[in-house]
Amino acid sequence: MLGTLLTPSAGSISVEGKEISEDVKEIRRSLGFVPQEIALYSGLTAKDNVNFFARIAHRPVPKEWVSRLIEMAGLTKHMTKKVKHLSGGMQRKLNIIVALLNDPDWLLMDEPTVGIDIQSKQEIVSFIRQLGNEGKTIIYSSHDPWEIETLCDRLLVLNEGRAVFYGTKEEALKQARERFPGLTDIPSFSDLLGMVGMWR
Amino acid sequence: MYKTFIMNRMKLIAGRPFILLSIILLPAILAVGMGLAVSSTAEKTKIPILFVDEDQSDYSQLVIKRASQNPALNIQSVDQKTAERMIKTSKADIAFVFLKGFKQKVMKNEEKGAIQMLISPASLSQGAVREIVAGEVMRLSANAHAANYVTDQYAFLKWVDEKQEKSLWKEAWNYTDEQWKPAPLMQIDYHEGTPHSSIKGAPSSQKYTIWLILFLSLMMLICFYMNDWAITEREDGVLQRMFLFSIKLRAYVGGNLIGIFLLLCPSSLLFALFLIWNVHMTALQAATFLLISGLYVFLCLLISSLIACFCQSKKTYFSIGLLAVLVTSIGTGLPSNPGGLFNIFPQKWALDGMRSILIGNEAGCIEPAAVCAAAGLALFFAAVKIIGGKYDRVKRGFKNVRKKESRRAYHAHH
Repeated sequence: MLGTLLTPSAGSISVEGKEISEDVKEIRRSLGFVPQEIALYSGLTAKDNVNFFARIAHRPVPKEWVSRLIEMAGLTKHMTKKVKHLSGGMQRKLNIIVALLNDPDWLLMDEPTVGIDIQSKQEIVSFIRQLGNEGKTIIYSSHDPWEIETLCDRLLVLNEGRAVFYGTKEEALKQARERFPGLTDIPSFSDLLGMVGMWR
Repeated sequence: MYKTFIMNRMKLIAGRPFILLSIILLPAILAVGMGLAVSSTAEKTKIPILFVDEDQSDYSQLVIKRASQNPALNIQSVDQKTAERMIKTSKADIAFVFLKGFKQKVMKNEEKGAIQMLISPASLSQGAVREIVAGEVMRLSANAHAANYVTDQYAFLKWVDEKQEKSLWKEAWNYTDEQWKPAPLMQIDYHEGTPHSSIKGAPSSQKYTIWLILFLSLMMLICFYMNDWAITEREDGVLQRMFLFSIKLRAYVGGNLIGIFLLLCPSSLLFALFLIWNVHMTALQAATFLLISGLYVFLCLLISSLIACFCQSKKTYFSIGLLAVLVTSIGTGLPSNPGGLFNIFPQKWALDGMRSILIGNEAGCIEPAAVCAAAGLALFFAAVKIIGGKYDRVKRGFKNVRKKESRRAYHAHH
């Protein structure tokens, strides 16, 4: 729904005070969406994909911005390869680059590291961290506690379609201790998230 | 934006060399097959005719030369003995013997007895062939008759001296002969069995019909095969990304279709080139043939796009495509058309247009071309509307939410 691809049956969503339902086009202009699937042309080279999506972007995409993104993702050497010949991690990175082409105000990522090896996962997480450090607002959906602990400042826990917790990581830990007073030693944040059932 | 989508689609297809090769090669193979079949049929169906020239004059040579230009005749010049043997063994249908003094007789308009005929007992075509040769002899005779008359009249009126008579005779002869061009005098206007034609001396388009249907079916099949992008991009998530990039749907659908269309153009061009060479098409005929082919291909692309919009998987899409190609092609090829049912098939329209062109009636293809163009335009807007409405549900969905909420508010207020 946040990605403006699904319609809510009720309620409303607003971004910076603007209702999505009022002007989907406007919201889409400020949004960068990284879907779970590799939404790229696998038969084209990485460069052709980037050039194509840059040409159809809402606003002109400066070449310097594209080069910077490619460099940040560490794909400079692989741009002439066809997407289908890139590794899973590289494909994921390219998927993120395409979402960032029009320099969106906020980035929505739907499990962008699903189904790839640990090393690639670490590289992608570091790339996303870099984007966050540069001031980009990122909404990141994941089932991986390590990713959440590494990347997120604030946390929204959804359980069976309902928001059961929203706050910082520290607040989450604090709430867990309050709920389970007997639980004095929580080994890690990842373990805590593993106990997501506690918010039911 | 159109250019971006066109180039992108062309790049994507060019990246699949097997498909690229097959779309160019298949129609080319079909064209060569058609050429071989048509030429072998044409050779087999020619009537074997013999000429024995005992006169050896320019008149007898002219008759042989002109008769040999008739595509229905297979002509051989032989001596009397060979002619008799070939007629007896039914290797030839008919033999014409130009007896000595043929030219003199024709010039005096005494054609009777100038030519001897040997007819095979198995001959079925002697009547028609006799007319062809008789027509050529009559042409020379008429020329000579006219030239003799003019010269006599001028001489009687003393408008010319003896020296000028010769050149006057020649001029009159040539002038009369010119009257037989481009077609012989006393030609009957035959009406060929298509809805549009009434052509002078037009070649039959019947022998090309099966090949045209094959070509049209093949092009439709290729259109279905290449035009699966609407499903592929939906499955890959590219379509959703397109919506998020707020692209113009018309440019997206149109650009992709034009990209495929441009790659299919060489196929039509190859086929048209073959016809130009084989049927001796004029430039105008070739241009109208290409126009009809182009409109037909674009219509097929739109039909396949529309079907792709409603199919959940490629498997379903290709099955429906194959079925559609088979049904429409068989329907178009059938001799009967129950209740004009098959008139809705695109092959039927394209075939009518192409046949009109082949028989020399370029104007006859205006109606099929207009129908293809109008149907194509309607289908294009339908495809844009369906892709937008069916897959970009958010715009429509939010409207529904707003309606629901305002209804709720209304009920709460009352």
